[in-house]
Amino acid sequence: MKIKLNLFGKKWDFWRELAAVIFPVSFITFLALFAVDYVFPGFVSNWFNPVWLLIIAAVCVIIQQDKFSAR
Amino acid sequence: MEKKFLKIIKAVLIVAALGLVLWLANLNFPRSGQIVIQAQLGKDSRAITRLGPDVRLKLENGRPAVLENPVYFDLRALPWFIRARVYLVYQEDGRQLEGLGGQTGPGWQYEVKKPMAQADLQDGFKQAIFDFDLTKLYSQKNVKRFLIATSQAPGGELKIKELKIILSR
Repeated sequence: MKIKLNLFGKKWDFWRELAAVIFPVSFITFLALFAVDYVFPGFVSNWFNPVWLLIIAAVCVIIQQDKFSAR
Repeated sequence: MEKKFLKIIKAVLIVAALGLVLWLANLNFPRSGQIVIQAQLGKDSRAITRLGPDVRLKLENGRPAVLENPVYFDLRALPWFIRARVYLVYQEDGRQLEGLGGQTGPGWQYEVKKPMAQADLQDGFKQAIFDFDLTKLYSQKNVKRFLIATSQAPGGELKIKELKIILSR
């Protein structure tokens, strides 16, 4: 039997939708910055660690998982 | 209501992502044509590493002191920066500064230069300025290695207070 988490009741679906909005922006930005830093090492990583964007994208994917659904 | 809020959030995120890209472009293509990189002595920073190897150095109040010759640091500079002016603030305590070298080829190939200018500072430290043509230095993934050469004689130390590099196009 699958136990569904329902920590915030109906509000939880809002967080899933928010995660769905944040994911593509953070992931595409990560890919773009990673590609630039691969071609010109240091262009991005001398100033900012793009892996933070990947972590944000990964958290968004986890939040979007069905087991966290309130429905 | 939530849909509208999510659309606003999406717009804000896209603007933030574009702002991040513009901020990085501005840092790497500065209008002045040069960027200043200040070493955080004793620890690695993104563009410049700490001095090494550790066995040839000791840390005093977060400042390194060279005990043995030579010591190295790496600089990660983008290829459109072709000149590097290195400012080294140091104090000779029984160990003299011989020069600063840039790696010109794989392995042990360094061109050690004497300072182009030297000045005595008020606090007992000296400042030496070196100029390098980065196009002549050996580079691996934009990383260039430099060597601080001190006197070969054992004993004594060379205290380093500041290491600053101005990169210019």
